[in-house]
Amino acid sequence: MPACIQIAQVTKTFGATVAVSDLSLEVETGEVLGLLGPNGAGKSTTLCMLSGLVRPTSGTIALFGKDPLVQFLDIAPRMGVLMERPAFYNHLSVRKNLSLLAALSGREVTIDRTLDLVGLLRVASQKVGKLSRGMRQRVGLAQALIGDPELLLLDEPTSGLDVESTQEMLHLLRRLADEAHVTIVFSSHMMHEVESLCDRVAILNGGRLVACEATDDLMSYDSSAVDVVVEAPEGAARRLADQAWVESATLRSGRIEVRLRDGTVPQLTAFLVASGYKVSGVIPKRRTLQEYFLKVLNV
Amino acid sequence: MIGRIWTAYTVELRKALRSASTYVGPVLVMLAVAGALVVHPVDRDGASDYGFVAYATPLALNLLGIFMTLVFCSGLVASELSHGTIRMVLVRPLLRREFLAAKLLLGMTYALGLVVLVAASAWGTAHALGDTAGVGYGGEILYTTSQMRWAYGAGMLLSMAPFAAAVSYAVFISTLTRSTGPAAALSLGLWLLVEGIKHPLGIEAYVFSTYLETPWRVFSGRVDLIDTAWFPEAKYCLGVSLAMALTFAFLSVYVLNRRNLNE
Amino acid sequence: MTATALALALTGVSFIAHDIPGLSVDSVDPFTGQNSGRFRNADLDGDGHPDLLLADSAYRSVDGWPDAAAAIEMPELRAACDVWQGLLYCRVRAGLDVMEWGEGHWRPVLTHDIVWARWRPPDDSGGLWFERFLHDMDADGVPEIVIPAATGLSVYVRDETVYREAAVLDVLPPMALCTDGPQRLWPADARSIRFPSRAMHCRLWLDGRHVTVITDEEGRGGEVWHVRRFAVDPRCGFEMTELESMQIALPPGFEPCALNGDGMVDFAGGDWSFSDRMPVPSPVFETQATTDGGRSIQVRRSRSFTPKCSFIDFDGDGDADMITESMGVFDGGVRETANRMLTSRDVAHAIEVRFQDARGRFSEKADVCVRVTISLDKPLWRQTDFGNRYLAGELVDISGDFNGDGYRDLAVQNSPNRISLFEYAGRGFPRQPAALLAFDDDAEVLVADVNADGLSDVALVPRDGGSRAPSGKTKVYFAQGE
Repeated sequence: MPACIQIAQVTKTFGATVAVSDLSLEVETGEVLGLLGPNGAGKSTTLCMLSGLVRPTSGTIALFGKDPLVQFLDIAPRMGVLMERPAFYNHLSVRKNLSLLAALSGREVTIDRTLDLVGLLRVASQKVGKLSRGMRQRVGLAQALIGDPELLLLDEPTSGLDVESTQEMLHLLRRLADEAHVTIVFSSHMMHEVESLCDRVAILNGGRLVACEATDDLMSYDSSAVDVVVEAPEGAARRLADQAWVESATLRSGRIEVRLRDGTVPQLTAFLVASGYKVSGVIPKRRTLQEYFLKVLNV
Repeated sequence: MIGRIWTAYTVELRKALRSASTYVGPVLVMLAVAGALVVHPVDRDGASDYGFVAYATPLALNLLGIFMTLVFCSGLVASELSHGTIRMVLVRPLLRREFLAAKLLLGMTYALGLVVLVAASAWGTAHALGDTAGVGYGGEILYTTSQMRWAYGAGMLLSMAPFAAAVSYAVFISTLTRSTGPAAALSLGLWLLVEGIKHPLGIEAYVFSTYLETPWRVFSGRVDLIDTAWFPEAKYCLGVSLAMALTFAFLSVYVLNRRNLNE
Repeated sequence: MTATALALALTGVSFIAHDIPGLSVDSVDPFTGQNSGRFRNADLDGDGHPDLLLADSAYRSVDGWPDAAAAIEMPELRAACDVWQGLLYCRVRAGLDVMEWGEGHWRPVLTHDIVWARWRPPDDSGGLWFERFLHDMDADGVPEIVIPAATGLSVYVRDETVYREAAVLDVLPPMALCTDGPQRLWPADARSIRFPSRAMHCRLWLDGRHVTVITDEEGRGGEVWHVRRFAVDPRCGFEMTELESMQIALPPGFEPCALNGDGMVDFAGGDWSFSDRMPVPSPVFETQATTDGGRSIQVRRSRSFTPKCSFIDFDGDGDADMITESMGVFDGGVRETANRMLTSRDVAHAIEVRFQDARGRFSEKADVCVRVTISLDKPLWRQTDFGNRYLAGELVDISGDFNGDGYRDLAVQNSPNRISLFEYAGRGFPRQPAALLAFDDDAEVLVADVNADGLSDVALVPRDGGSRAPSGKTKVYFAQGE
């Protein structure tokens, strides 16, 4: 079965500016892919090309095995899109906006169910122009969920949301992915959101795909980095720093953060014990997405 | 396709009916008809008052109505581009050309609404305050009430051709700009420029606005007791207007299809 | 006017241009399409070609065209003149001189004293002036001299050697008091009553042995025309028999004329007014005619000011046809009309002909319609002389027959320096002109048969600040036929 999303050597230029360069990527059905990258990396442009709002300069895109430029009408009913800073008809109510968009989708949709899903039932009759930014963002998610799409393209969906709302949205998206096997492509600046939600992370920089790994893999334990808890950590840190097989030993908050150059953890433990230090604990460090991200970007 | 266009059109219509700015044009044209009453009074003096109808209709439609139509239609796409709502719409199962077709239909509905309002206001005023019997001369009825009504009705129908061209032109300008103000300014400014140079350049026969008043020639001629023929002017009106309407429609589709909607 | 002019024959009629000094041509009569030009044609030298007589000179025809180089000085007389079969009749104050041209000078044929019933020069300029006083009432080939005077129509008949007054036809209406302004009944310095003057206005037609006298007076809402028709028997001492007398009430604006050959006096008229159906003034010209003695009035309206000619026998059937014109600048509504007046130099113009049938009815719809474009020098709002002439209807003339086929042709001065001539082609006018006449300076264009060859000619009368007085040589394009 082909992947839900297939991007092959896609380039997009706006005049002299290369927004996306030779991007190739596949997203499987039911997968949650996080798009990360600094500003101007090409995340929004990639999502626009997937949703048919922007035409690629070169390369091919397939959603559900179909070209969105040619068979857009086959794809659109199965897709929900939330672009950055969603816009609505401010003079109309939330319910009215959604019902008009639902009509365009050609679906018989119970708007209230969607509103309840995003927690907006109580403001359904208010004009969108009077809502806060966070509420508008929820309306944006609601319109993307109209018609129970199989694919969600979300550009910074938690932008403007408070902590609680953010968690609710992430929880909802996870549930959609797990229970309804909705494929989600999700761009964000918030590392912890991507960490918690995404199955895989694609990092873009300067329009290029610089890394693409499963979240579990890139956040595994780093065997060359441990936190050591000892008595008299100051002396232990100095001793360790002098060892050739230790890259660095830094005292931080009563613990020694040790990065091994070519040594092993048993070797470390044996050295400390042999040196007369009482070792209370050796805790392996888990890589964070932020660390990985910064490393990939050579920052 | 027809179904999607119809659905999109009804969505556009529902949006427009809920917007206060939609009603500015209709109110203004009705005020123009009322204003014509000040300059061209109507009373029951035994003479038919088709002169008032012939006076008020072109005044309201071809001076004011066309401006309001251009302003209204200039904002149809430009406002969606500036607010970003076009992105919400075009990720639905709706092709860009179908979206434009719905906008054009809305523009035509607006123009038709203005024409009907002006007709109702002018005829209603003439009928209520004056006389709308036949047009006579020297005791003889030259044109009956029915003939006058038919001439006016045919004029209303024919007037949709140049208005279609105007709608199409304004929507095309709307696709070129990013917000309503510049779109309206550009469409009005360009139109006025063409109006000013079309006669010196000798291109008036190919400009749709030349034929805005053609639909009312026969009715106005009968008011003046001049037997005016529909043809060949009606043929030129239809031909040039529809050609321009189609041309601008295709240009609009071309522009919007190539437009990047990433922001 | 400079002599530079060019005639370009395109498809048919060709022209040859000659300067005719002193020629002035009046505009056509709106009801007959005829020029009452200030010239006469007569074969003075007996060569079979009519020569051209002006008030102060005559030009003999050479190769069919009046030649300014072959000029003849007219007699130095203060006299009313008419021509008859090559003879020049001059009525001086107290006598008659009939002369013929021969051997390079004027030779008297008949000269004698006579008391005229009326002799009044039109102005104080001196010299000759033309009148029409010769009529062959008894069809004997010798003209009688008929002069309207206060007492009636004086008829002078030729005996062997002299003309004598043979009859005074009492056909004129009685004098009537004029309505002068208020006057003092008892002036302070004199006890006298000043009576208003008396006057008599009437129109006289003399057609062979028939005299028609038409008078009018104000009636309710119009005018009442009195028409009296007499038959005169020259063989019975010019005894008169009244054939008919009738009164015809008509709205104002009508003039008596002959629109067909049924012998009945017709009436026609026209006037324009502004339509009130548009904020921008739009003229509507109303052409009216009655050919049944006022029982019915036929009206046709068109969007124009006053056309040059409203009635003319277009198709040569003897009946006058109705001509209406439509000014395209006023076609349409207020916006387009204002735009045209402000920016357009090209104005569309339509000329429509409605034939008169045997019953005296003019067609409801136009039988012939021709559309032309006139290129003004500036848009109308600039009110240039040429633009004003266009609005006054002076640029379009449908009175000429340039190819002698019996149908009128169209002459349009469609720019200040060009005239286009369109020949009627059986079912209409072709789009392309048959000939173009181009000239340097602006001139008034008048159509008349100057050399009396049956083909209308085109006279360019140089304009002098809008005056009709010739400011230089009139150039005449003589039609040569096809």
